[in-house]
Amino acid sequence: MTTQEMATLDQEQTWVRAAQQGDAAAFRCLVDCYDRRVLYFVLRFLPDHHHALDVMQEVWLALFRRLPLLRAPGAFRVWLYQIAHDQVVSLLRRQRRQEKLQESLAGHCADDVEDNHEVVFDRAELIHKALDFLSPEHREVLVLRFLEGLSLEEIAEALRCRLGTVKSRLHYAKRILRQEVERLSHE
Amino acid sequence: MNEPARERPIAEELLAQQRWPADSDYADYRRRLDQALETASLTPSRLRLFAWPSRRVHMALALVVAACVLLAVFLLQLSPDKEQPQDSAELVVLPWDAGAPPVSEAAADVVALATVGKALPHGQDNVIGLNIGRLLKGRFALPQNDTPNEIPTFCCRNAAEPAPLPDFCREGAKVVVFLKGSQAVGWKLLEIRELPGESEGRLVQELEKHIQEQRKKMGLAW
Repeated sequence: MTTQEMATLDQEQTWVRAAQQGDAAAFRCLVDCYDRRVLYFVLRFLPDHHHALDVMQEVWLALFRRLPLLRAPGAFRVWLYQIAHDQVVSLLRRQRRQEKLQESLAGHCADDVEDNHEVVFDRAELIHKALDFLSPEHREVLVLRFLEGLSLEEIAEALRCRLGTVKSRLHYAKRILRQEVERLSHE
Repeated sequence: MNEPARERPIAEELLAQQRWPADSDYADYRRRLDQALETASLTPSRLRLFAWPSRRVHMALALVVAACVLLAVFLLQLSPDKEQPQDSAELVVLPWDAGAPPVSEAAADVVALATVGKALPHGQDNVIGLNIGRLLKGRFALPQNDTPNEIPTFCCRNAAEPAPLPDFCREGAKVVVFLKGSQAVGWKLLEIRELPGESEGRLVQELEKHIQEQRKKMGLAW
């Protein structure tokens, strides 16, 4: 796989508008731009590459079909991850035949938990490994935060949950991740 | 919105750690995606009908619908409300204790067959009408009253708190009600039992038999 060139926001919005008018080439530019990072997100929940690629195809197709409904091109990225999240949850539900993930996704809220923006995780290799030891809901907030730098509000929108829930998850996710990184660094 | 991910090295470092699908698998996925997108683009999307440029049409339609709803509400206000009780002052709301244990026929002053009526607003509450049918035990009129056995217009409060009426209390359902009280002191609903259609006759016969036995035993005339 090659690293795709990142687009500026202006470019991205131009592609989104063109794709909304049915420009397939513009849509492919969006795919090229985001495919790798969305795949990273999906692989956090579906380690099997074949499953992950199948879900990716569904994500892009769903996005392509619904793209005319997107009113604000600037919200494309959040929308993309929202669809990816929905597709992953849907597949996991089908696979497990239970709703544990959804229950945990609708988990408790702690609005007063402060988000620690100062935390810097500079050991990417360990973080990457440690992510696998986190619960799905902690994993996804961290991935969206680290990978896309989404704001808390954007994460809440992408995951269809409340801002307080995102703050809480991020807080605890960082704490657990730090513990896991420590543990892995001593192994 | 935040800047794209390339300004955050952690993202690139994380991506670099990933064990990606084999190039052949990824190429196959992209090929399949391209084909699927091509097919999808050839199929006119119904969603495009709802796209941004046609929002004005939708807003106009929404306004028309809203106007129709308002007009309908206004007309309903003008017309006599058939759902309201004819004389809500005469409506007897039966207190109802959901947690009370089942009672015997002997504990009730009145046992009667009834049909569950319509749900009606009554003050701040919602109530469900109870149309009393055949009396199995007791009477409604006061003993000194010369008027015939006039049946009050009963209803039950149906609210989530403290507890709603049982599920079988739907409009048209046949039930047996066990009432305590009198016209003078007021009425209380001790119990309401379902009277399923298939076993209605048998259950009524059993009730009548029990009541008759008690009547003989107590030497009372109900």
